[in-house]
Amino acid sequence: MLKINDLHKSFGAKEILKGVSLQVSDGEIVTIIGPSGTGKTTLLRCVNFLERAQKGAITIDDVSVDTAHASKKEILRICRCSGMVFQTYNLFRNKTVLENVMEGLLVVKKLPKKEALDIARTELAKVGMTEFESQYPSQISGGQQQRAAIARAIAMEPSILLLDEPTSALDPELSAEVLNTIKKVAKEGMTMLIVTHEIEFARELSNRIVFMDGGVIVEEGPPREIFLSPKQERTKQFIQRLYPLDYQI
Amino acid sequence: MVAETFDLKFIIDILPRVLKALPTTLYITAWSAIFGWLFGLVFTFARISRYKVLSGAIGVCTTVIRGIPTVVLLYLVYFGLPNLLRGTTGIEISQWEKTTFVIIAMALELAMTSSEMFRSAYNSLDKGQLEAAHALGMTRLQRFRRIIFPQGLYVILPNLSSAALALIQGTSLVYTLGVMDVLGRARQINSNEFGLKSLEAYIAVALIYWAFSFVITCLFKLLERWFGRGLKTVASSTST
Repeated sequence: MLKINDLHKSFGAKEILKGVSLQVSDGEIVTIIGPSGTGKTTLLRCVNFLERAQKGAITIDDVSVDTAHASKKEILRICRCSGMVFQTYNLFRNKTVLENVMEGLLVVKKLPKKEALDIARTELAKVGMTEFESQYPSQISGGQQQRAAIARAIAMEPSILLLDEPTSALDPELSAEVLNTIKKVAKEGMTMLIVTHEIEFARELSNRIVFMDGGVIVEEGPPREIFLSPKQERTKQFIQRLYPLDYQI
Repeated sequence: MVAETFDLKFIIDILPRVLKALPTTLYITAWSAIFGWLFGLVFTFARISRYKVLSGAIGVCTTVIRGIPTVVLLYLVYFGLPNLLRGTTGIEISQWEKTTFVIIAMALELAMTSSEMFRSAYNSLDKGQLEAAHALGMTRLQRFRRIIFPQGLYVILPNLSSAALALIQGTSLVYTLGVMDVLGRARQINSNEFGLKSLEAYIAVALIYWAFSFVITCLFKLLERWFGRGLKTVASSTST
């Protein structure tokens, strides 16, 4: 379970998040949509302290942290119960696919090598990357890198997986293979908080859609509700622009 | 004329005797490299730290030390440091071995030049790699050891290699303090021959330095291959 409470984040004088609260229950898949520059990615990055919010609280399971005063130790604990998938994959370039997945298990969880190897192979099989396990990131496609990155994140058994525009850097074909992988992981009951521009994917997969604009959550609800009968005018405009044809009647 | 008096056999004869001084050269090189690069790393951390006074101070020292010729720095440390320490703290170090002063001077210079190098390597790293390590829950030390160090090392290996060669050759300046390194020993042999065998003696010295440098270069080539795994874009072997 993830609980974000009244998060405020500014870069210099520019306020990006203006008090965002959001809860993701166990097994739930929540997708954040909204125009560019509204703080969706920043919100995600504040959860695992890639950005430090000036005010607010983050809770994952029984770890609760005040973002303004979080110690290094608390930040580590939050990182260790969350996993992240990046837009640019960020696989370790000096390590093979298999080594990438084993890295966190060996270094952070300090598992014995044999056990880490077993887990890594299982996860790689899950994302269909078994045959690429000894390749370096530079030797495989973006879609394959992203699937390996998903395996690396879920191998750590996080309480919640944060996905930051996981397909934005990929062409449609490679996007599809990554989206299918994410769906597969979702079916196994992984809790997810996703930022994406893949609206169809969000609609199909999510339990709940969160629409953000201007640093606040404007509206949230089940996909049907948000896409078919949004309550807020701002949400309507955004959805209308996504589906111009449906709304021209 | 050189051609008439050139004595090839003499070179071969004195090589073993000059080589006896190689351990001194090796000793100075090795310790200067270890301390130089270690402190270079420490200075780099200081320079990228958020303590502005500290990073500023290191920056000034770097500029000063890099602006001083090695041989002058050597003299400053050898003649100046004991006085300075005696004057300020009363500690007496003038009885230390000459080689110790040499190592201090060489290491100091190497630390200053290499910290600049390390800093630019750190800045060139893809920050996404560090973010991924952070997201996995690695501590700062783990991130350094597992990601920054191996990836950064690959970037700077060619520079480290030239720095090592410059260091090896730079150690030859210690003969000016009367340390019997390779060059010092060769000069001594030459003066025993009344200075008549200068060319031969220096050729022997050149051969030794060249061989030493060659070995070091090969070593760095191997390191580059080892740390370059995955970091060079491999176009040929994509298996899609």
